[in-house]
Amino acid sequence: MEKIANLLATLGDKVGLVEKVKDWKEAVRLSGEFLLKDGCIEPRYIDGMIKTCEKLGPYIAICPGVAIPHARPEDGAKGVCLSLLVVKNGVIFGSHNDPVYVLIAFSTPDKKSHIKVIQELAKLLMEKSRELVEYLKKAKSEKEIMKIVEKISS
Amino acid sequence: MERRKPLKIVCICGLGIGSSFILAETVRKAVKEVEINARIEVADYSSSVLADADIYVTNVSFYEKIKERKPHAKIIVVTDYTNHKYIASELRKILSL
Repeated sequence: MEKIANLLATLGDKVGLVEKVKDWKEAVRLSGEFLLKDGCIEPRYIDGMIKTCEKLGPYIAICPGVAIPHARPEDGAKGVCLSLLVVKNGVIFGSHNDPVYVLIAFSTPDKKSHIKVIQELAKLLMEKSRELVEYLKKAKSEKEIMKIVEKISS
Repeated sequence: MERRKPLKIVCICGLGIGSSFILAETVRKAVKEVEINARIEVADYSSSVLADADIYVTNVSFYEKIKERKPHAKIIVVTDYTNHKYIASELRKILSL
């Protein structure tokens, strides 16, 4: 598979692992916290992410087990940023692709800066989404998550 | 089926910055598999302007809306935005390949 250098570099160590969440809102909020900690979004972007999910409905879960919560650039995005949250018990979005175990949140300050990263993400998911979800579900630590992503994408 | 112009395929979903780009990559791969000459675009759904396309690729929620505006449109509906094989087989059906 082609190298996904941009994806891994942008993700960095913004990965998290939780056993379970109350509902999809909590999952989205948690995934957004990583973007906030990194300084690439304003706090209101997280509210934007929740609103976007409400607007897009279940379609934020784009393939089996995976959702990509995000908001618009004008909702407080300061840079291109990516995070990955694993919810071991899964979370329901009301989609054919439920339960969601992997939330990949992102931000972009405009409609173009994130394209390379999103294209790499698309290629990864196209080829390895099933594998990715299967392994990430069983991860026991954030470190393991990073190892899994690196291994599957190489 | 001979085509002089490339087929115009428009991907429509959500905000047009995340899922649409992912869908576009999947369509790109499907187009390669089917070996056709196509131009792939990403568009927001807007109630005032709907981009003209030979084929739309979208999710269930936009299907009805697009069908209403363009009753003769060819629309591929997807639930898995990464399933290029499904899109390739739908393209073959539409193009009678």
